[in-house]
Amino acid sequence: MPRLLLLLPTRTYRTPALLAAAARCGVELTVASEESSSVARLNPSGFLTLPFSSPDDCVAPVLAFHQQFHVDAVIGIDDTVVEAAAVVAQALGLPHNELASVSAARDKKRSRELLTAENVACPESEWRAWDEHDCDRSPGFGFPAVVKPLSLSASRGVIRVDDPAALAAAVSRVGLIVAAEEGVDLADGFLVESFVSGPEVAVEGLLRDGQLEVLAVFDKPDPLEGPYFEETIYLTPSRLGQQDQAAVGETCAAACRALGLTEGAVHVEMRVTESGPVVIEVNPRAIGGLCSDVLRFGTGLSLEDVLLHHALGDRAPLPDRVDTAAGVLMLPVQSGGVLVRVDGVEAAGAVAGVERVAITVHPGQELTAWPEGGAYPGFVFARGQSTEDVEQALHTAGEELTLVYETS
Amino acid sequence: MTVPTMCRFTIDRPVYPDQSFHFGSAEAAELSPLASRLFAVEGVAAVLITDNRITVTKYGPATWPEVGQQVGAAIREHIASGEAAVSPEIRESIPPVDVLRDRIQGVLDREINPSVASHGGVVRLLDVKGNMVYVQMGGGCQGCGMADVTLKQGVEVAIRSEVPEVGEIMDTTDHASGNNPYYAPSKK
Repeated sequence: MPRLLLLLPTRTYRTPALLAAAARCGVELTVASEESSSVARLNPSGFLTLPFSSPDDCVAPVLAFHQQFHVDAVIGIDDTVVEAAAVVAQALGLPHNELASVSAARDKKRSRELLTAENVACPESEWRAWDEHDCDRSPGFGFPAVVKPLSLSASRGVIRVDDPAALAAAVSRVGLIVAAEEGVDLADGFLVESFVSGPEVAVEGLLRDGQLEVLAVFDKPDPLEGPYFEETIYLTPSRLGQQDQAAVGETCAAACRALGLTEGAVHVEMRVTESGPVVIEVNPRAIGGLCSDVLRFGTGLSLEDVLLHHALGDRAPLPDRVDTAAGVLMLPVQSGGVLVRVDGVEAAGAVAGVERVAITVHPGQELTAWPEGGAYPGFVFARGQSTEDVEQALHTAGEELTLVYETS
Repeated sequence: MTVPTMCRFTIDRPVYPDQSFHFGSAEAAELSPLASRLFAVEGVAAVLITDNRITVTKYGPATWPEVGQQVGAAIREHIASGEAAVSPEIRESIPPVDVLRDRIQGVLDREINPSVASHGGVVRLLDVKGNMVYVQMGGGCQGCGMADVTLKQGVEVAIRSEVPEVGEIMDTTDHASGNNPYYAPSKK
């Protein structure tokens, strides 16, 4: 059986889905994480410890492991491991994205430069250094604008501003968020970019030998107008017209080409404007959180099944997405604080159309609201005859759920 | 590269009640009339028979619609034959439940729990039915983002290595109730 090296950060939401997909594939599995497993000594071929934050340093341990236990495929589909996956796959001679491309996609400044150079529509932006004395000056393109750190994910630290005073306050606040983040280089600076209005969509895609296959287009029906950009609902199939969906797909493909991405999962956020789709960001990874659970392909394959098959070299035609309307609600953190309990889980699960309510936090855990926070306390999944039914089910279920926090 | 895949077939009656046996090759399946019939289908690489479920691993270019039809036909042929799914010799090779329980508990005590204790975790043996094993994870393992990895890559491997007669190993943990997980899931 082929051996799959799965790069899995210890705090990912995705472990069960990926392990289940690996089991369905019947492969020999090695799990690599940034911290050693407590049971690693029980299964020497089953575990590796890799310094994901330093991708080049992952190569030697993987090559040494490969000498002993031949590795046939590598996959890393979370933000924190995609760069390590790229260099490791390259070192093993497997299909891979170039490190420069993955790094550029993760770096919002570089990504804007490459998209602009290839005439792919993206927000106008100005880069600022944190130590510039006037780094909170008004942008040349005016307001509304968005303050955005370069390398945080899940819209952490992203704030819409409508005037110079709000910009100054946002720059101070984002500066504190970035300064508190481990592993972020303050020399990276930040972006002030134009706020693009229009409905937002997310595209889930798979790159195979440089060709983008669109797996799903998600609508985000709740307006994301700011000032913070915590996600709420994703619905698929998209209600956009065929022409708009085709334009979304073409723009995604152009964005991937501009960044040089050629292999594996991509998750692209876009706004659809009167003049066409505008790329907000291109992530060289699959959809985050537990959201992949929305998608089913062919006879019931998960997104993780599709991605593992791709990593294992399967180039057969991709199965179609199962044509049921489906969606996910990412639970809002609400006020934040130390969680006591989540009320209403049973009632939310009983809402017609709701398939599953997954609470991913535990009592005693401290949750932080956006823009400082970046983790959702749970997910609600629904399916139905139409996206309208699904959206209604998700809203109703969301109204049933209350996060109860400790009072000070 | 050909990608192996598994497909589970659910039958309307138990063919190997409350027991589970994995056959990794045609040779290993000689004492199982059902598994032998399945290995005769081209591309079948492994067979797991559990109660009323048969999980077939396929390795080769044939598609599941093709292989699945042949597997279905082989299962129907086996049921019509009236033969046992697994021969008495294999059944008799599985130690009594009490013996299995003691051996599994020994692996937990000697190998697994001293290791997971370093992360504040514990793995408990809840029950053994036939050769199916039910475990529960507690402490730092309950709700941990890496609990599945610990179970499938560590606990299962250690138990199967010392007690190869065990069938499925099932985690009965309510991970949502874990209030002190070693790794709390939070990252995209």
